[in-house]
Amino acid sequence: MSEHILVCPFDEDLIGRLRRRAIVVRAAKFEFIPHINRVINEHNKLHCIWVIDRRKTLANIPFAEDWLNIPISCFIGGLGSIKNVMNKLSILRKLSIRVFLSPREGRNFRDLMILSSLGVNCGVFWGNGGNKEIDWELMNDLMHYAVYSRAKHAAIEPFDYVVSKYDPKRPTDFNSVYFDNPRRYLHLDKEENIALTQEDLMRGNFISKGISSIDSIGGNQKYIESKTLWQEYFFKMEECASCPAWRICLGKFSASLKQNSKCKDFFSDLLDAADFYRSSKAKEKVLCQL
Amino acid sequence: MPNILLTQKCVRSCPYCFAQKHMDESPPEDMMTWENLIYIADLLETSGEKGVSLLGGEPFLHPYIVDFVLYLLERNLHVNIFTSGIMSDKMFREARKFLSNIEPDRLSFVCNVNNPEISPSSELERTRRFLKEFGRLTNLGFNIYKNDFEMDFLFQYINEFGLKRHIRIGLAHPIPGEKNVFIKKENLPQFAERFISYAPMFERFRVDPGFDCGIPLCLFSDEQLGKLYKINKGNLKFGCGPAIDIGPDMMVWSCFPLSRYQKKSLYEFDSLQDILQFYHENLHSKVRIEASGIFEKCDTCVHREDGICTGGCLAHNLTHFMNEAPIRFREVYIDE
Amino acid sequence: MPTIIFKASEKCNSNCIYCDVVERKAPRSMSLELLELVFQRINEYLENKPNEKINLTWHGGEPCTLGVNYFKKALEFQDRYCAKTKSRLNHSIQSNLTLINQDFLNVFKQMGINTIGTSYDPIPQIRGFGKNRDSDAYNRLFMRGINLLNENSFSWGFIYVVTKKALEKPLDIFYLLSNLKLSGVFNLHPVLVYENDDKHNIAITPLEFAEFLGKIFPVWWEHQDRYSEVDPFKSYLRNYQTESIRLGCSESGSCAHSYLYIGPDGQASHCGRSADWGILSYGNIKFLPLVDIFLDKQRDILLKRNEILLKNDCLDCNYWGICHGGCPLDSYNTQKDFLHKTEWCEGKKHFLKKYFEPITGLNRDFREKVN
Repeated sequence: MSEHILVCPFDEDLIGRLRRRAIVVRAAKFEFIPHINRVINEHNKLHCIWVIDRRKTLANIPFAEDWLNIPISCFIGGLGSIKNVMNKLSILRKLSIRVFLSPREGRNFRDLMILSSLGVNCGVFWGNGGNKEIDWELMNDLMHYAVYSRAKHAAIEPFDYVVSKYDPKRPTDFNSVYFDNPRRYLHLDKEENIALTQEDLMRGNFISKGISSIDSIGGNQKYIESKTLWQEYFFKMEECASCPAWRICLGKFSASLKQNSKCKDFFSDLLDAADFYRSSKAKEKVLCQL
Repeated sequence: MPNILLTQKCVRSCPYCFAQKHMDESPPEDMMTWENLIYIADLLETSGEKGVSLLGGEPFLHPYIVDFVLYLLERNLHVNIFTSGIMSDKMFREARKFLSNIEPDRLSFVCNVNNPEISPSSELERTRRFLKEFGRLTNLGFNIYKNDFEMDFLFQYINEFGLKRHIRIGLAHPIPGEKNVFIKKENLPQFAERFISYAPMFERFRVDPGFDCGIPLCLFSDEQLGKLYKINKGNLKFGCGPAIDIGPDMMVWSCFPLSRYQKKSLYEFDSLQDILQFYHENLHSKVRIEASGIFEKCDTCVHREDGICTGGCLAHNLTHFMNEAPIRFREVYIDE
Repeated sequence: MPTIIFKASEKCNSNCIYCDVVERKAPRSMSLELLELVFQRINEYLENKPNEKINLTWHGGEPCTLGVNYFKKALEFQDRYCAKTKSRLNHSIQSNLTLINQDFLNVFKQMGINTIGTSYDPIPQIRGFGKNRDSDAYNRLFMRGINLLNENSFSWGFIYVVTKKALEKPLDIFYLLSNLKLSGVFNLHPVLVYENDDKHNIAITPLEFAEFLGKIFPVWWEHQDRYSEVDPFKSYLRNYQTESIRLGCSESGSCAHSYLYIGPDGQASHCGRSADWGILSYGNIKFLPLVDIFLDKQRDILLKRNEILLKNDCLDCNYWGICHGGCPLDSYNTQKDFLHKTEWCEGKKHFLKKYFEPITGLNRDFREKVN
């Protein structure tokens, strides 16, 4: 059986046809969370519920006790009223939730710092954010806080992913944070069309059809080719190919790099942070388990 | 407990204010930001600090103060707010909604009040409104800057509004480089006399006074000290322990009257302990070497040597050197 | 362990701008008959020297132009003639990877090859097919080759030949090469042009090469965990820090009896470059056993070279022990004899004194006493 985790909408017919799969469900409403959890876990394993609702703010999400132990990631519009968020902190800290905000709104960087400092896992989500320019300097401030702050705080993604998974000998693809890394995730729609990323799925760039094809996806020609798509940057001698931070970005911001080099500066700093984190970990003592 | 200045603006112009010049020189839009507050909270956490004071100017002029307070409480810090209690109606509603039910072991106020007879009625009304709502969380603060001071109204407030039964007594000192109102050194014994005359009221209403820093022990006779001991329940302190102030611009200094001495960026320090040590070594000790206290007799005082009294306000000490040629430690002169 | 640079074919499917072999009008390939003799000669040598091993490096042109069957034949000859000595025969290969396929890799595995040396240049029209040096097509096939190596768990290292076009963007080049190969080795090497025949205007001076390295070195030094295996930096660092000094053939000063070139017609020379440049011919394997070729009197001058240099060009040089006056062929290239230090020595010293030593804080006296 393929070890890929499937990302699909919450369609009970579709879910009913899946067996013994790890599943990320894309949901549009928070209210469905307990129901989704029950349905998925009947014959499969819930990996995460990925709620995208930019109309919602953290202050007006109806968190509930029956969400406990359900892994949730959500991409929402913002924090909303901080006072109301503070009221919900006790339950928020108990939930297995990760809150994503768009980096295209300047105040979100501040809000992510607030959340992280209060012990709530959070992160930036670049997708679906529109065309507004990213403030890379604020991004850098947030990253520095995430990696270097000595005070206890919750992880801020994708920085935490990058620094903890980073291996200088291998590329680090933080798209895993958004369930968009084809090495780990495949995207499925109700008609059982299969794509490598969510964007491909939305655009109809399918690589296969049918649940039965999932287990042999390793032999799928388009899947195989996707593993070496990164090489295109090198054929064209694109700027990304000669970016010092290539190994943790892999060209995700090539459009941005054409306009200015701020993404290069940011990811270079993140790479330095990853090296720093790695060398700090290497110095930690590891005692044998007694 | 460090002080965080949320804003440099104030709603009053108290004659004894030692921060007037500082506030006049600071841009009014200079307000504490979220990012800086988080940084400070992190620093306090890694320093093992359990509490923080918020002040200003008037901290309730900061539009996010309620958010800040809730945030700091969630960071497990005890929050103490120095305020006049004078705030807009909107801010009052917000504060009432979110702060009035918080337990006293997590949140407290020090409301600095002036004699009602010299306060405009609009200010008085707002102060009274504040005290009525937040009384159970509030200590009164009273600053004495002339010898004919009146304290009756303080006991009245405590009884009327159910305030905490403690008054923080401050004594205005001359501040280096400032033109504030204060009681001259030679008239300080009259202050002591007048203060002790209120001992029966402290006893009757079971209120205890706490001296803010800078009141020397020798102002009081042995008999007066005895009365003080009783009304204070034995918690007499005659020390000057300059607090650490952190401005909205992340500059740090040791106590407002000393804000023109060795102001540093907070980012230069790794912990609160570093800051305290820096100012202790580079300012406080140097000043006390040059002048032990505000009186000449402080140099040979056994109580100062025993650590019971620190010889009055450190800032007051510094005024000795204001008009002399720079022959002493560089640190005792105002930074140019 | 002596190394045989085995150029079984001068044919190449590429047209690399700095290649001397590609200029040949009629590239030759070794016949199977002669290939058979090669293995007989190797066996002869190994039987004669029971404590020796041989490293047989397949070179070109592009060795894969010989076809898979050629290599299968080589294996067959090896089994037939070197049955008792093949355990002391190591194969290695240099290839541009553009013709690599699974069949080649299968036979390479049987030959005991699990790593392939190659070369790469991202700058257009340095390495490419045809008159116009189509580097896009070339690089796509190169990458396909890399992917195949990865799938088959082959390791690979490459040389980057620094030409004039690379001088203007050393860090871009460095980052790109490091990104291409996140783990493992690559080697920065200056382009070598024989007799100043720089028709493509690619030659660089030793100083230019030193400065090129100097731009990159601080980055490498600061981030060694990231870019561990980059030469010459790694080698310099190791030689400065450890007692046992390891040097490539150009710096070792000891290539006199340890290298041999065999060409497609069986002609023997000292190494690949000496053959390409027509210097030092040692006869032909058709007529001479390898033992005799290794003892050719012409090699003696290479031995004497050390002694002479120490008394003259390299007198009192701090860097003697890691340089030995450079490659004797480079000396011949400019001085027409082997008895001078090469022009590359100054570049080396410049790099070490201006960049390597100040940045690392390392200093070492590599002088040796003349016996």
